[in-house]
Amino acid sequence: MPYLILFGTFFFFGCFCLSGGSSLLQFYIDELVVNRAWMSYDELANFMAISQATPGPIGVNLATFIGFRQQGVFGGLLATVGLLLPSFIMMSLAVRSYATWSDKLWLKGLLYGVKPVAASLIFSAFVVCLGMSIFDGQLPLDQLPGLVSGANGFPALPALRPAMVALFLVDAWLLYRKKLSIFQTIFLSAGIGALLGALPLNLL
Amino acid sequence: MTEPIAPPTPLPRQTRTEKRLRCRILFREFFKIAAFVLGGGFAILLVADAVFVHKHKWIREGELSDMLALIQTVPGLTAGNIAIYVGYRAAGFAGAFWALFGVAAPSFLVITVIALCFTNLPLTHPVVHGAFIGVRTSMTALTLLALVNVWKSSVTTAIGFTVFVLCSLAVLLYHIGPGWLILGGLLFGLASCLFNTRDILRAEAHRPQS
Repeated sequence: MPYLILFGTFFFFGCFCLSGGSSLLQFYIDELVVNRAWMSYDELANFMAISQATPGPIGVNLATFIGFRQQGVFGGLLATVGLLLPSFIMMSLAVRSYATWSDKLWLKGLLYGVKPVAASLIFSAFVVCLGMSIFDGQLPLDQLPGLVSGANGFPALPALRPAMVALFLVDAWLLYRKKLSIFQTIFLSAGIGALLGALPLNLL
Repeated sequence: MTEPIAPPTPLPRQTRTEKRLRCRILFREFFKIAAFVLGGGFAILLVADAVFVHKHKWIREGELSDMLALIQTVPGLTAGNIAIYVGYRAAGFAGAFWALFGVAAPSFLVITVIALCFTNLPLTHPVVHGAFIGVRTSMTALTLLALVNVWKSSVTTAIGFTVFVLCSLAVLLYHIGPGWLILGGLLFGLASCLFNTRDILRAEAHRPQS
């Protein structure tokens, strides 16, 4: 039964994985961290860091990792297959009959409706990532509605890591302006982070 | 000289041995791509283009834009969708299967080994901790880059921007499940087909042609 739940969960993720893997992060947080409590934000952040820095597509790496942590080797296999199966079915059928639907209005309409949503998921993934890197914890954004209505006081903000703010800006600049490869950026950042950790300055 | 793109291209008849050979090559090439191209996504697209368009010539040169359109339409990981597209075009369903298998296999092997060791990792050691925080920071920058890349083709009209803002607020402030938002987006898109075709076409016109 746990195997079936694992497979079903990742099959569900696979069905909704729009605009590439980045929008998946919000699903992982909503379903795995908040709803099921399979892992904490911090664990998820570490899994993601490892998935980034190892060979293979990040999405597949992360799915295998989460599946493995849940149910061992077979769990990792099930999570990976579950994530990829929906796109295997849909993509094969789509390539086969591309010509008949590529110019239909309903398809344009679906994309028109869903693309901004996918972009918003990537944006919220970015905000969550901020809470995993340059802040010491998640930003208490869900407290804002209560703050506006006066139901609760001003929430405590997580501590800022100034060194990581600088590193983030450098990374963004290198990626966007200098077109540094993802690989180089990741390992540069890992090196700088390790160096800062080794210094006895308590920067992180 | 590039031929005009004609989507309805029936697969040429292949003998069984030829198909089997192609499946083997697909598996091997995608295994190599997944194992040695770090970063996933569009980095893989460029390598796949070099290997299958120019080396094996299984895919015509003008097909890259078709492939991009499909990859962005059908749900799935970018790397997985590229493998399925190339595999299907080269050798049908079996080809798609073997290409996808090739993409997933290195991850599966590497991550299983790492996950076995992960519990023994000294995560509280300052150097290891620092390295992890560093990678997480690069991940934040990468997500921002992904957003910038998606933005140009996704949020093209005022209505699209409104949907973007509302959905972001719903996720961040109220923890609405992302699946519901996507379903809502699909329904909104279908409704727009009936009531607001103009904005759909406007969004289409603003979309950069890749």
